[in-house]
Amino acid sequence: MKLIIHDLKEEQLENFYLAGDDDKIVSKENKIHKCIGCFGCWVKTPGQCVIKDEFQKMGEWIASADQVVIISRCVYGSYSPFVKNVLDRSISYIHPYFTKRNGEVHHKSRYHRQQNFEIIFYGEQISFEEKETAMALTKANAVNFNTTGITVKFCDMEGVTI
Amino acid sequence: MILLFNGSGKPVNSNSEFFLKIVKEQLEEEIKCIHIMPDFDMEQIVIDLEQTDCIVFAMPLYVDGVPAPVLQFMLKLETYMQGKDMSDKYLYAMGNCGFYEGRQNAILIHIMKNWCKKTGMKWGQGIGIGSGEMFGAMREIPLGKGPTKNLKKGLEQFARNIKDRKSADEIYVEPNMVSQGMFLMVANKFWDMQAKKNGVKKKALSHKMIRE
Repeated sequence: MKLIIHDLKEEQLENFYLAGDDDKIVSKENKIHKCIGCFGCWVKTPGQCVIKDEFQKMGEWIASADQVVIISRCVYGSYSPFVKNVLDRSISYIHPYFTKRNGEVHHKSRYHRQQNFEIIFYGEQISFEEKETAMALTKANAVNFNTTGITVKFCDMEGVTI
Repeated sequence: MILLFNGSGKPVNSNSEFFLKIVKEQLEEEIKCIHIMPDFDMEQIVIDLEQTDCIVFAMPLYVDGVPAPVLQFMLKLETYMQGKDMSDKYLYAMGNCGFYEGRQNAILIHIMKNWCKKTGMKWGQGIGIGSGEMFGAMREIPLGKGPTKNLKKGLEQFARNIKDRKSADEIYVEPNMVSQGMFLMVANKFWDMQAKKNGVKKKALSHKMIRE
């Protein structure tokens, strides 16, 4: 099963990614609440968010996925607010404990199982700086989510690689 | 007037609020502080924007970047700013993270810089505070004492540049006297204590939602 997180309209998705029948799709279809920085997903109900909406089990969904696919509008070199919100609500996937990784402090993994992340950014005029920022952001995410690796590509609004 | 935006997800007592307060104490002019909430009053913010030549954002690092509600807010502001001359305004940004290294806020600062360029404002400076959670827990210690020496120095330098509307290189802050190794020990104990407070056993912190 692939976990596909995207901020597109339902009918646009196929221009960017061909989802399989058993893939799980996380989209704007459901209203999302913001992360309130309470750390409840680490110290109250470890492994799941305390906010009761459709995004409560993001950590579990990432853990069960064979691959995570993220399709997001590139906003100032970041993900779009919706996709970022989904990721902000996904930190139950990792462990609160800190550990040293590549000489820096990062969070420990909650799960042994690791995923590969495929990230597709799209936008009208993504600047060179925004691309650089997006590359740095996804690289940092790859370390913090303890992925097996990431691939990143940039597309126009129709899903054509640029 | 200086406009301060607090991008913390917590309504009160956030670390962002704590660091902003230190900066505020250094500034000697009219300040307006606004907490970024999903239902912000855009009309009032438009009035405030017209009266300011200096904007400061403070926020926690969320998943290596800017928290989602802050991004949403920035998009709204960009829409308003489009086609208007913003070149008289300076933008300063502060990120704080739970990780030891202040540098882990560099991407957040880059995102703010990219936004700044889009809106046509002038970039002032970014400050990235590492061990934010630890500094927040030490807020009772007089600032500048013990491990907060670097924090005081960094925030005062940041405030000075805001005061002078000066552009400068980024500042990254880590606690002095606390090594990375010490940090790891203390911070992990902190999580055990938090769990205990919630009646969660230490072992349960490692709970898995799937069997593997």
